[in-house]
Amino acid sequence: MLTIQIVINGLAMGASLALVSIGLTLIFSILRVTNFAHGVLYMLGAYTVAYLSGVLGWNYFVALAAAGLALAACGLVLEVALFSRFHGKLLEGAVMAIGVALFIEAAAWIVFGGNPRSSPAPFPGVWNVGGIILHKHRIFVMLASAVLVGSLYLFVTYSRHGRAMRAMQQNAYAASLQGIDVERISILTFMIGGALAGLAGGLMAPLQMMLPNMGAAPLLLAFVVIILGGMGSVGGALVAAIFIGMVQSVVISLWTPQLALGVSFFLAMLILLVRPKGLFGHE
Amino acid sequence: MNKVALQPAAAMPARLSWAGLAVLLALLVAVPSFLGDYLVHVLILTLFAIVLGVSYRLLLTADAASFCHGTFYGIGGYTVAILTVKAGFSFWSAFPVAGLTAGLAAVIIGYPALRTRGPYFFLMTFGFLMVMESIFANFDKLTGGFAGIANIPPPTGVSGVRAFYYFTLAFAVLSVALFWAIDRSRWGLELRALGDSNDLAQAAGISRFRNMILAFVLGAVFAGLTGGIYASYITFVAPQSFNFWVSVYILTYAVIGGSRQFSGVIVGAIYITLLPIVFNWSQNLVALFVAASIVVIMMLFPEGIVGTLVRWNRERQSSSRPGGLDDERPFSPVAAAKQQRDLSNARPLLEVSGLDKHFGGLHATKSVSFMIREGETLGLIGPNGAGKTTLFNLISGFIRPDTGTVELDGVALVGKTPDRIARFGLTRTFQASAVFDKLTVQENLQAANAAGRGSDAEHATLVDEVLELVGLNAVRDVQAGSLPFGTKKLVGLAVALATRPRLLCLDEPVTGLTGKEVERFVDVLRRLQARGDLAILLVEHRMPVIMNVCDRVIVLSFGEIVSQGTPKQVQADPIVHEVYLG
Repeated sequence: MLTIQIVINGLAMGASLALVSIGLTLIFSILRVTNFAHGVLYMLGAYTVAYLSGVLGWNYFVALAAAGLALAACGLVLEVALFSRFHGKLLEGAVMAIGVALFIEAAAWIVFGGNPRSSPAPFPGVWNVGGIILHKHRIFVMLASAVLVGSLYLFVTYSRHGRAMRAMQQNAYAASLQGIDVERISILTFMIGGALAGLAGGLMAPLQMMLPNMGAAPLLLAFVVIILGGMGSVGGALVAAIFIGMVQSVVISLWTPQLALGVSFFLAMLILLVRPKGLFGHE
Repeated sequence: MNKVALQPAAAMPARLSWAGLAVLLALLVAVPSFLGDYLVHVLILTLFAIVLGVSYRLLLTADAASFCHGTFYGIGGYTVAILTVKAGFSFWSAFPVAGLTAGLAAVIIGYPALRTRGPYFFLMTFGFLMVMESIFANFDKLTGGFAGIANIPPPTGVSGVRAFYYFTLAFAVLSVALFWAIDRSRWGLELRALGDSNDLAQAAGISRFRNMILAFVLGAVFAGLTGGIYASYITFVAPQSFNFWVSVYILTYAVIGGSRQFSGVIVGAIYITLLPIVFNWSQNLVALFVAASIVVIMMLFPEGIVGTLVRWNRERQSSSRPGGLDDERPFSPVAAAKQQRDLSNARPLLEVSGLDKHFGGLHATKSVSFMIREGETLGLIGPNGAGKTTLFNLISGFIRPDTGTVELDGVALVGKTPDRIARFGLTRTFQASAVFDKLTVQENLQAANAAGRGSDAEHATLVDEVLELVGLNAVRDVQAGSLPFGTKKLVGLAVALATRPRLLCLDEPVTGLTGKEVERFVDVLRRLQARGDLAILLVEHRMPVIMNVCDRVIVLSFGEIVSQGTPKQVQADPIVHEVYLG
């Protein structure tokens, strides 16, 4: 019984983590930018939903879609105004992203204040199936993630823009020589990443207390996921996110919650020792 | 004349800066007597930041950014805290141990992490940071958990803020002097060469792994020592004293100040540490200030504060820069027709046998065997995709063959790293990216590491000889990256020669050169041949050059040797025509 509960909790954690990680890994592999600002995009998504549905009384699903769009726009602005100059510059790009993350978080403390907020859930309550607790909203998060990841996978694999993204992943310069509009694909990548992070934040908003630093934990876990999953692989990120969700769930249920992050990183490093390109990465 | 014009301009600021340094030092010594305790405290924190910055920068010169410098700082802090509070050590016996444990941690994480490259090294060190943060917070028995460890005693003989200031100042001055000296030393040059191009540095005999791990560990030792002093000064350590953001701040010192210049990281450290405390802002405002500074400085001055100042200064000074070679040098009369040399009695130098390499389904070389005699020039030709570059990579250790052996003068080379092979006397050049872009031509050659590399003075003589031989004297103080393509290729040859090779492997050295530049190259090759002690393996597409300089030629097609002999014999061989014309 406990095992099933742990697995279900793990799947739920993995589902939202996958959304954050896939955006991060796409930005990393296509633009070669370590986007430390990804966590604050998640946070902004959550606050957007909380404001629209909690304060203005919008329908939750409309608010969620609005958060996705708003954070896509946010990604567009960040890429065009700031990150476009730092493609491929590992250290400078990382520091720039840290600057952005610090700035937005500090601004959020000042604007939103330090009182925890919450957001109403569209599906409150739980199902109790033979002793196993199923949060209705968690099930919704899992389904929504599955749909989003599935459609992103189809987009990246089969669409023209998706192919261009994969071409840039391998070699941006060669891609530009093939007539791919590198600038446009970069903006698209950042918009997708921003939207996914915003949607993940919005999906998780009803499940947790919100503070301006709420993006830190998913950001750090997403790094574990892209270490494990290999840079730029949507499938790898999905599998690794579910794996890390499980690890979190096991450590939290059977050991101590504070250790979950450390244990995840420790596992990721052990795996890197054996497979320096990640579990699913290849040359 | 270029040199004459440059010298006084370079010497003046140097003398000025020595004077400035003395004044600064005197000021730092005098400052506590006219500042309040709070400002002295701020200065101490700034000195910590400076040592963290310069020790972090060492590995950065080799273009490897780590993300866990704050963790080493923390390990040092916890070492002193645990040893003094829990084990009853005095500060002075715990202090060196702080450096040692941090260094040991750097070995443990650096050994696997430095085997990976680029983003993976960054992420591995990031992972280490997170694991250690978790250990600090959760290993209650040793670290005190979230509550941390309090009541850490001060060093005996150091009491009060002012005494601590002088102790920290002495430590900081010594550390900065050490890292400054390293930056100026040969080792610093090797690290910078690695930062410019890993492959070229290794081909020039510079060990990548050994240099990088040494730099990483030495940096960590000083971060650990700084952490030890910090713990004893604040008298308290907790996980949040050494969290993620400490490492982040150290990183920003280098980027904001400019990582190319030694002083950049110091300026960055002072800027980030000093300003917020001086204005005594609230925590949120400090974060906002640091964040805004990062964004604004990186957008306006991507090379950092000092980096940008240096560039402005350079642009103001040098409006015109000579890019040519010593063209007045007369061509040697050797350029006449080549006489046949008889080398059949010379000893074999390189013996390659049964060299096999697959890339997936592609059979790149099929049991290739050949031999080069001492002093011989062997041409290697074949159509594109024949496996010439693969063969080069196999011989020089950049890739490992599936089967087969390579012996240089009886020493087996397979399995050795490129830099060791270079130090045995086999040096190669590259088709592209032939120079260390950010070093001057002279530094390019100085960085090269040779088999019989003597003292620095002896090497300097060799560098002079090579510059003279290749005809690069006029551009010796020019940054190599700014040279025209043909000159860069000559610099690449000169770097290879500065390793004092016995066998020089040239990968398409004249491809893309103009007719005049080709003549110069052939002339240099002739001079080398005339010395008689250097064997050359030459891959080239320009047939006249091959026919003109080679003693013997082998022809490669689809990974197999299909013909060999004197240039004339090969030229007459019908198989060769078939191979090239299909």
